[in-house]
Amino acid sequence: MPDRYKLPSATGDWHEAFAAMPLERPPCDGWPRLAAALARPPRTHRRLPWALAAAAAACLAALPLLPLQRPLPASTGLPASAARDTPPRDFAVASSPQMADSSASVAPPASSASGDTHLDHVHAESMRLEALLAELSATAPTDGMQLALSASLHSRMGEIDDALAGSDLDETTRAGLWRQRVALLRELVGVAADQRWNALYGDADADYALIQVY
Amino acid sequence: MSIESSLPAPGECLALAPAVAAADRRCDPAATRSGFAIEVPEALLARARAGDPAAFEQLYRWFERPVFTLALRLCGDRDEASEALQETMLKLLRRIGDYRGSGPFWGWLRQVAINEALQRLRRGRRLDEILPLDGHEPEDDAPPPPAAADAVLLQRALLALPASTRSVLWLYHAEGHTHEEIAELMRRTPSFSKSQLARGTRRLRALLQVEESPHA
Repeated sequence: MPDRYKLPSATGDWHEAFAAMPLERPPCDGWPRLAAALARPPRTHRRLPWALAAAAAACLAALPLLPLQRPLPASTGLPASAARDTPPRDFAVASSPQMADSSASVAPPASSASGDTHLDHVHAESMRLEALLAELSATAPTDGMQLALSASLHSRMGEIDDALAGSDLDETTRAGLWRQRVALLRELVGVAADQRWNALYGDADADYALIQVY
Repeated sequence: MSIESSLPAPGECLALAPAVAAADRRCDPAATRSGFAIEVPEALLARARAGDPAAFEQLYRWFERPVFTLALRLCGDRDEASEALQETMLKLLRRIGDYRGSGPFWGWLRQVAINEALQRLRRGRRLDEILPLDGHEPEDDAPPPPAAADAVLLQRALLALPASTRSVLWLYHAEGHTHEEIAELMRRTPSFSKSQLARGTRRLRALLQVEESPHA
């Protein structure tokens, strides 16, 4: 081994090796930018103008009444995981970009000591729907109503995630919020599936077609 | 002189008081040596909760490098880490009223920082990047190679690991999280954390041993 290359003294264990790494310095002073952001009012979660909000509310109310207008073609082109009631991925979650901000601080808590299987099921369902939504959300909405509806649902999701981030929730309230989250995710998946359908098979005169994909 | 009385009053020159490290418990095997372990006086927290900009800046200065470093270790990119730092501190300072004092402030801040970094990885589908498993993954308890003492070499080797594996290693070895805590943070199982730790440690060792023999 060349003399110019002298190995450092060995460390005791990996903990020491990692702890000995120095703290990194950011490339520039971030405080002025942060101070400016703090001086602005907090961004509310995608508040819509009242007209769009009314349209979104009308779409939500009409969702159960929209019939399936056409039969599924032999090959839907939808991801295989969206076609049937597939088992959930093993705790893998891929959030859609729109979900990221609102769910940044939300993670399912560890199961209680008594094994709250119902809440575990709700958590697992939430993760499964997030993964499904991520797969279906690759297609950007082209329909104004879909966009308004999706934005409204994401806004409500953000409010629920903000509430879940609180540390003082009792178990009943927390479970209720998680159930609401799952319900919203189901609606979002429905909208995303519709967007994907329209992208693949829709045309200017296409009627809405809701496809249950889970 | 108490720590509170040494803090600058609002509006004064921002020659900020140096951060006070949490008590050195390195003789305690359970103690964390996280860069976040900084004691924050209650008076400073009270001023921050009241919206004092000088208090905000003091908290930012104290935790800027630990937050940036953690984001850099997890995300592997300086620009991404800078954005994660901004978002983390923005969330923290806007929600500082949510901190109830049930644990150290730095622990709460670290949680926000970890969630932000992991969320960025999740958004970019980078948490899907893992080391493939071969079945049973025996633990690697052997000491690290000498090259691990070189921070530059260790950093380079860490960056060569998949994002998810690197995150597990950092959260376990540097931040002292358990496999159950890592599983909860990463929305995985404890067995995933254990297997990625074992596999990642072996890969890290191999990368560092290559560094020790530059002419190999």
